[in-house]
Amino acid sequence: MCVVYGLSLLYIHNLTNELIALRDEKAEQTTKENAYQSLITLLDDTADERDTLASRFLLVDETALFVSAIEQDAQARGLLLTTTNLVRTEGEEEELDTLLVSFQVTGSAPMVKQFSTLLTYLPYHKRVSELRIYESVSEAWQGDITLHFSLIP
Amino acid sequence: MNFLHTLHISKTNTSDSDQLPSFKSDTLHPGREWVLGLAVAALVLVGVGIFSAYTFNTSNTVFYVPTEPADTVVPYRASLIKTALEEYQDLEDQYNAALQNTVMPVIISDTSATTTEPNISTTTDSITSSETPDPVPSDATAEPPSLAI
Repeated sequence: MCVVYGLSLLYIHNLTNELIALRDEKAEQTTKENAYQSLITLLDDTADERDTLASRFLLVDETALFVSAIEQDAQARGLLLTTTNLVRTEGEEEELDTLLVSFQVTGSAPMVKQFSTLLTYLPYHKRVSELRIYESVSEAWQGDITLHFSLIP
Repeated sequence: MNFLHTLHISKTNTSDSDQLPSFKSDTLHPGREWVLGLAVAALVLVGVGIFSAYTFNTSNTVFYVPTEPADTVVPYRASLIKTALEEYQDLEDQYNAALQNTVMPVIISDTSATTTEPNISTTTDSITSSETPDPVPSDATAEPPSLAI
């Protein structure tokens, strides 16, 4: 009887260890499910904000269209715009790629100032590294502006 | 030694072969042995029961102790997002204000007509800055086109 009892205790002990392992596994699974649900909820709740923020970044595929739109807008304003520099720089590690664009605008003084102001106020994630407006030799005004746009794929 | 004194040997008239000693012992009490055996069995049973109860109590927590899942807070800096959205909104407002203040040249095909292009200032103005300048107010004569934003 004692042998049977001892074997029973050993069997119960083994079952207990298996149950503890299952409990821990279940707790880990529950934790992952909670994290997943929290993440899904956060994604749903912040979809509008993320879309708004994403719209403030220039897309890589739309770079040519963006520069072309600027050139057409300058032409519509009677300005002579030349893209003097267009370089894409890859970001380091977690940094975004950047698009360096340099424009040279030639026209009347108010139009050059206004257009340069518009470019600096473009609501994109960018940095203005150069803005010069000066009178050229031929009595026309000239503006040099260099912008660094952050790119997202 | 007392055992021997308890033996009562009696001789009868029978032969020697039949004269076997007759034992009448006071030590053989089956009832007492039964009671003693049952008492030991009961003690073993009670001991096993106590040990089983102890084992059950110590292992029972495995089934009922709830395991709280780990904290699963996803890092999301809402205040930073809000600040960024406000700054971009301000920038867009400034862009729209500057867009409304721009002067568009009116191009008329008639050669006798003149455009409303403002005069070019004769002063030399040179600006070198990394900051965004203020919008340039002027009289808008036409709705300016907007850049692709």
